[in-house]
Amino acid sequence: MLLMGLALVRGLGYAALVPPWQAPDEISHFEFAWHIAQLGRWSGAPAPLPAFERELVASLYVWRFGEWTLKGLTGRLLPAVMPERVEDFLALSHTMPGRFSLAYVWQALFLLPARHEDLVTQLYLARLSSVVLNVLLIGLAWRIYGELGLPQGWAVAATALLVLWPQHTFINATVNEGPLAELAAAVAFWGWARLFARGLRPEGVAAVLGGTMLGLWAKNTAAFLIGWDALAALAYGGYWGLRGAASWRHRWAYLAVPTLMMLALGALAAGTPVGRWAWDRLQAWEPGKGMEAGMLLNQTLRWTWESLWARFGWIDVGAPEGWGGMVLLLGLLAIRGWLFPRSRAWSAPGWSVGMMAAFGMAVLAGWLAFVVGTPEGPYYAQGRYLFPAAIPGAALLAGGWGRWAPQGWGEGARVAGFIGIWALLDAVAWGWALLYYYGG
Amino acid sequence: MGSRGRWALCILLIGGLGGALGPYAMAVFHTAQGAQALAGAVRPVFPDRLAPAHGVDADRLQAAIAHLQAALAWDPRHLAARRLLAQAYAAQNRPREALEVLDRAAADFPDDPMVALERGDLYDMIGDVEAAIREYERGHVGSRRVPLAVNLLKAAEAQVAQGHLDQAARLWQRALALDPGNLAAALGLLDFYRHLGDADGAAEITARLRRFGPEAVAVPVDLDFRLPRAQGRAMARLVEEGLWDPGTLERVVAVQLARSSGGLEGLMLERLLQEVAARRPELRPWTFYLAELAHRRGDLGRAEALYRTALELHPDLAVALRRLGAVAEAAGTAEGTAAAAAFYWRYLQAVPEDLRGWARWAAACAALRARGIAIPACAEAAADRPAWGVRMEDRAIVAEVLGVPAAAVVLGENRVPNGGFEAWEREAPAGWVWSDMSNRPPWSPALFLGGAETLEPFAGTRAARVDGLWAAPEAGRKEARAGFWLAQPIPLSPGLYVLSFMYRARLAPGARVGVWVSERPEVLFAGERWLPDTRGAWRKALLIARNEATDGAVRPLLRLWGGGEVAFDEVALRALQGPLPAAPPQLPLVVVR
Repeated sequence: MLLMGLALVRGLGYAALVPPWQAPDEISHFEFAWHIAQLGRWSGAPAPLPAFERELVASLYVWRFGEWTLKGLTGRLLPAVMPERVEDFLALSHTMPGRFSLAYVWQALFLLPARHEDLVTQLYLARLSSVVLNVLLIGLAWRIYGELGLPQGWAVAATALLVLWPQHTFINATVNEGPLAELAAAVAFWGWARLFARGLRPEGVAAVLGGTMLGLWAKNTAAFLIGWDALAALAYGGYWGLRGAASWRHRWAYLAVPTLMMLALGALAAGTPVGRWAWDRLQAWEPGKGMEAGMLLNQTLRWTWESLWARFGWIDVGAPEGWGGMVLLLGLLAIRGWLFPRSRAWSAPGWSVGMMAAFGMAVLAGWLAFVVGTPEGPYYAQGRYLFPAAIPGAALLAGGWGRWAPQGWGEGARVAGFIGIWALLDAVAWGWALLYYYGG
Repeated sequence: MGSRGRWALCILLIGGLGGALGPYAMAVFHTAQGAQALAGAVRPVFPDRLAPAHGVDADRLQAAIAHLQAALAWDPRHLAARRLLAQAYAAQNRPREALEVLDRAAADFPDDPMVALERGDLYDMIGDVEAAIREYERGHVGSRRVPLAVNLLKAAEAQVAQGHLDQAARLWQRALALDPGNLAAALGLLDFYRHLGDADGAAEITARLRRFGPEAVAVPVDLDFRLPRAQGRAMARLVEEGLWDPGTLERVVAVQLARSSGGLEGLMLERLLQEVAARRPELRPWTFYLAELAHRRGDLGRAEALYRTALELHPDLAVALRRLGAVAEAAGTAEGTAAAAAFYWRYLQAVPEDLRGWARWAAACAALRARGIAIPACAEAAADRPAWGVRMEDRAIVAEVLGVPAAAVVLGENRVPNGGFEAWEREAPAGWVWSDMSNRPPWSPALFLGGAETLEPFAGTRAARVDGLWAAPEAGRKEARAGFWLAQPIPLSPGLYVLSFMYRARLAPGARVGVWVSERPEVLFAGERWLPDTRGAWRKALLIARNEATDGAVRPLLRLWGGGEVAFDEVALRALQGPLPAAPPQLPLVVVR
């Protein structure tokens, strides 16, 4: 509860202090949500209402979009004569025709009571919807760590990392579909954790099916769930069906239920926007296609790494020099802790660690396949697309720290040290961003 | 902490939160109620501007105002409530109260362009030109180009009245920068340069006025009548000054009618035409143009009355008879059809070469015959094979030209896609592209516009229309031309071909209508084939040519060279098949009927 409260306070702080429209594609995402709230329905490929566009463009003038973002994107400021349409000066990001996400419906719910307010007030309400999802995510992360059998100190450290992760808080305090996709992935992950930990349970099956479907109606970053679910079902059914279950009746159940789940998911996924997108991408997939645009793999990986931790605004406001190096050092320490542990204080069942690693790898593999195999891939060199793996990622990072920390450290020092370092890193990165926006 | 303590803390938190957010929540509630009541109470004249509204429901508007005032009582900084309240006052034509409401918003949100623009609207309502200009410019102009330009013109007029021509010139320049097609501002600058004796400046503006761009022809889509009125006055003065000839004015008006008759544009165009008509009634039969505008807008009753008036004022205006026929025909009644046949018949006595007139007359007479109604105007309509019909038939024309019986002429399938120009994609017919060879080297300067003709196509609902508003041939540069070009080549096997289409032209002196198909002489023909002016009548053009290449392909290009107006319809390219008894004469053959 404490960490959820902290996530709420931090989320509200980020949402309030990041100036309006200073988040990746926030204009477009908000536009979808606004239209749903105003029209009471999904308008398909949106033809933005002229009144909305006029208010939006005026708001961009008020909130220095030209200086903070447009100049960086196009090298130009906002025109002296205010255009009536966003596309007149910003071809990069305006509408995303035909794209639907349940996240927009969720955001629209927050806009409904205030749909006559000025746009910025509505934008803050839409941001609030993301903060609420993030708080739920933090609560769910705590549950997942419990289900995976993590010791309390490890679970606290991992959850605290999620709360204090600057980029994670930033993205989940702005208007986009990422928070819902991440929450959906977390629900599916919880379902699998439940199934692996406690055997066949209806709530586990429901969470896997529900989380996956929710993700496939939320954002493309959840596409990996199709492959992950298939692999997890294979592993789950195979292990329990062939070896683990007590009787043949149980074994058949363990084989049949995952098979049925996969058939149901396969049939349902084909009808979802993300399912169709994934199928199209798969058909057009060509190794190396993403690199044809001239972007090198190491560049892509570097940008992704940096924006995984702290890159604000339209992924153009970084942390101070040396900040990324500190995070890298923490990462290396964690790897060292996993490879050469100095302490076994934080130990968990092998299957849970394996599952977290496999889940993280599935997210990474899906993202990497997209980046290198599709022409638009390099544009997605952004760490936020890996956030569906944030929960297992945070646990592995914290777990590595716990194993790196000398045996002699007490539990309090282990947890407090980890949280303290991240609190400091967060304060520096966030302070740096605030200086950028408000430093004059 | 015990259970009671927790409850107390919760209650304290909720109470504190409620106390802090309550006023804002109340303001949001009243704003929503006020916005809904306002939306139901008024029908705004402008979608984006504060102005007195039509159809005000006083009770609902009062309720809206009460809610919005309540919202401001809860939260005096509430921006949405302030703007809505100002909108409500403006709808009641109470700009000063609205200004008071927005003054506070401007103090709280000094950088908000919408607040500045709405304050500009209110100053515009009050007639405070300087303040309106200041606020519009502070709000980055946005959608207020038209009212800002109007206020700049007004401010310039005031400066002229005070003898400050230099101040006026600055204002005209600003208006022109904002609205490059603003003829009134350009004329003002011309006066200024003349006053200064600045020959170069005057020459530059004169050239700009003579070689105007499409923006000068465009009718602003805005419900502010002041700008089209200023534009209309300027157009009349351009003719008075000799910068435009009457033909240019006619072509500009014709294009505006063809492109801008619908919706708000049409209303603006009406004001523009009325202004020109009032200032220079002798230049054109303006009643006819106003009738055409009503006709294009579907106001058939008004169109008929105005066409009749035009005919009374100009008895030789035969085209008014044709239009009266079209209006009567559109009624769909037996009486209407009889009246249409009579009008068409009278028209054909004056313009016998117009094949569309014949076609419409025959159709009206056939409809009457089917109802068993006989009228004198249709006495000659029952002929089996009337002369005018033969003039339209490809087979008959080919047979006549080649000197063989029509039965010996066999024509293949039409190879031209969308030859009737019925399907359009944006500004061009589907399968065709707009070809404009003007302005950039090696072509001379000119202004061409292409679009659909919907009022009187030869057949169906649309024809392809090309307007040449002006052309200025320059030594050492090629003649300017533009038209519609088939997008994909049509492959041809060796043999004879017939290219035919209907066309209507009204050309400026020196202008021509041309047909081009390929750059290889052995593929039908190379270069342009010329067609005569038809003075507005639809006529048939037919070309017979031979393809001698095994890899021949053609892309018909129908275009206008120079100033004028031309429309094309029913384009067809067919193979001339079967054994022909006589050797064809010198090819290619161009026939116009």
